[in-house]
Amino acid sequence: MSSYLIRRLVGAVGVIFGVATITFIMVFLMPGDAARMYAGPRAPEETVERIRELWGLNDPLPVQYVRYLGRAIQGDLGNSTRDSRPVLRSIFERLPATLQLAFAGLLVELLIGVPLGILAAIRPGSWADGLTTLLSLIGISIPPFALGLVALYVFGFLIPIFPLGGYGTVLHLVLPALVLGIGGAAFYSRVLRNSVLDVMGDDYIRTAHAKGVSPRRVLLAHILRNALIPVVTLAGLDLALLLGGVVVIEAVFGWPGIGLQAWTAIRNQDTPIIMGTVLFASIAVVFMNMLVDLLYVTLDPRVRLTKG
Amino acid sequence: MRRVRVLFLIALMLFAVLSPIGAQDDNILRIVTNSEIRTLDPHIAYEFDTWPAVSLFYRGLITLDDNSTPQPALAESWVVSDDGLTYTFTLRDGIKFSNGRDITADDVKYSFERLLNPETASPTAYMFAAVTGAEARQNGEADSVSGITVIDPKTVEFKLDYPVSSLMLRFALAPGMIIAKEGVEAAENFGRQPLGAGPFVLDSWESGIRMTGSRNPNYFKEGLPNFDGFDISIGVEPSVGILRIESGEADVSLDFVPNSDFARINADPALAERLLPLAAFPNIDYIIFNTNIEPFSDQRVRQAMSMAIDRSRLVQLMNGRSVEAGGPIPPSVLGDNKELVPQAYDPEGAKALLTEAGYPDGFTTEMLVTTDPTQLSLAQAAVSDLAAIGVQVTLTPLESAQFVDLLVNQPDVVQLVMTEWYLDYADPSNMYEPLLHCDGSYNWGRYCNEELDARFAEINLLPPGDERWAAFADLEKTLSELLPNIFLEHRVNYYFTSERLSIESDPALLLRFDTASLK
Repeated sequence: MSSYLIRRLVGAVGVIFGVATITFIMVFLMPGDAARMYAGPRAPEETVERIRELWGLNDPLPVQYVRYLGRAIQGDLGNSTRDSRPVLRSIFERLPATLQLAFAGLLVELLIGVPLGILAAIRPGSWADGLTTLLSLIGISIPPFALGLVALYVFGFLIPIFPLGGYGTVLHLVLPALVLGIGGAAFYSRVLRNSVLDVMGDDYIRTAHAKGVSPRRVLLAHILRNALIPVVTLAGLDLALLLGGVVVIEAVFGWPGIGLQAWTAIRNQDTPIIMGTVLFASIAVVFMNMLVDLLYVTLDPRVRLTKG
Repeated sequence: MRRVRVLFLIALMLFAVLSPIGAQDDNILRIVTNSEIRTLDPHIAYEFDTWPAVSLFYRGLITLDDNSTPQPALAESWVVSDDGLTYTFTLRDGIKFSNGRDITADDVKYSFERLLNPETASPTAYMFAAVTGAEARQNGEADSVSGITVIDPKTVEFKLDYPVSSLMLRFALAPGMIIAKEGVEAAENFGRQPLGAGPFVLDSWESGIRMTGSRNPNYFKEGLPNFDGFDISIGVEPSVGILRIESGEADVSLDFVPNSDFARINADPALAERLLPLAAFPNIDYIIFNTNIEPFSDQRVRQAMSMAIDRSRLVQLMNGRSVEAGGPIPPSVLGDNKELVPQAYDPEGAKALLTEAGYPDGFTTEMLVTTDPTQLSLAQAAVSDLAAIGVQVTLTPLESAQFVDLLVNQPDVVQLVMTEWYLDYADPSNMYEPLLHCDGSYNWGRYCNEELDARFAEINLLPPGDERWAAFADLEKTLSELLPNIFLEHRVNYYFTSERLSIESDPALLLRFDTASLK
């Protein structure tokens, strides 16, 4: 187990290093000139040139790359070219908001998705089944941007229950979490419905029923224990993605998270922020992947790390 | 017992639900804005949302009234020499920075020397390039600006290398703000720790979330501002911002009313009277030709394309927030030729002219545009009009970073560009010099007419006044005939204010927060 962990950790570092390199290359392939963006289209070329010099943008690419990596290892991701603040500080400032929204969104997904999926499986064709389909339709066909605006208009303006976007209290969190979670909830309920149906046909379930175990106990102790495994995997990966920020939802609700920051940075060609956010998000994904794998081992006795 | 607790919880939740909404009877100005405020450093700021934010904390030597006429601010008076080369300002008595320190002529000199310091890397420093020694300072060859002299603690003099008749207006803009040296020196990041002589001081700033401030007790205008403070919610999507203002949760947005919301608001008389047209940054939407290549080097082709575009449809697309353009100078700017009639929509005439020019079947070309929704919709309308006379235009939308990069660094690829220009100040020279002068930094079509440049240089020496405005009106007429660009429309942007707020738009810094009040 511990050698497995070590191997995974080494692999993870490799992946992160690769991501850092690819991001660096991609950012430099991006059209546009960060110094020009900073100075604005009206600034004379000399001003832009001075800014390039100041930021070291005129150095050869390998020099810039080594400098970037060297600093990144020490936790220095550079300064935003837009507001000149340290990137890492900006990311950590935005992290609590993103964490809140990510966990709340995941909670909505699971709280709606899991019961709905179970109901849909044990009563195919019932209202739960219909609702799952409806939610899937909403999640797939309505862009979150529109859904968010409609939610704000209805529940913030027409019926002022929730604040019109912003950040701070639990109330601010409700609408974005719901909008974020609805699509995912439908997805989870479908996955769970299928995996419950799958497990329900297994021999040991029939055995359990034959032994006279109560249907409720069969469902909770026998079926769900196995049927939930794919959901756990998905939820873990989902959370990793959410940690990278949910750009559209954050933009509509004015949620000051990492996604909104990254989006703004891309529009402003704020390279240090873009690279910092991608690096951070990739670390989150790698880390969550590892966590999911470890969780798997405890959940599923068939996965024992004998050979790794 | 358990039921009591549940009831208590429900009551608590209800209270929490209802408390953030309503109850706006305190004396705080509530502002919303979409993007994080990039900086409060007046020498760095250069955006529609940062200039009004800067105006909360800073004041300059002068301000502009509604007609863009200079009015005293930190300076109580000034003298411009007859040759237009010397500006002498006399500071007002008893003016202080928000920290209580007296403002002297040294602070004025310091402020402008920092603006021109190459390490400041100010995007607006070019506005004062005419000051003697500014260039040497910008190149790092001098530690000070030789043309700025402190005569006594209350008097400061600016000497210019060449007269710039719009210079006075520039003193009212963000780069002309007076800053406190100790603030710059003590700040880790001056863009986030402002110290000036504006109506408010900064209390807190949670990046991307919220900024608050309170009244500056040392503000030079007695009894102002009318508010105890301000509270800016950052990251509010513009349409959501409108809803907040409508519901009374906010008073004004630093963002303009989005096109889609404008139609709704303008249709409701009660809401429409709360629209505030932007007094600053007069606009022109126009199409640039690369006049150095065929077929655009032929005036008849340019004329035909101008005739082919239905400008009234563009005005419609903007939900009525624009007027058709007769020439490049916006109607709110002195020097605009009121006799110029916008080009009439005449596709038949355009076709005939195109045939005469040797293109009976039209031709194909490419037009660059940014992905800005307004620009994109205007470009699409123009492209479909042009197709009707056989000019097939491929539209290439680019993100603004890429757009600017391409135009600045590869001007040769340009054929047509759909774009917009906002004048920094209400002087007609700010339309010709950057856009059409051979050396114009924004002259993306590389239009170059030396005869016209010479004429411009001559009339630009005229001091503000009837003679100057008449000369520019003449120049505008010439331009409307030469058609280096297709002049489409002049757009007006609007702010939307809450029912309780009374505020004016400022031609220099966009919003007058210091004189704003509750109705």
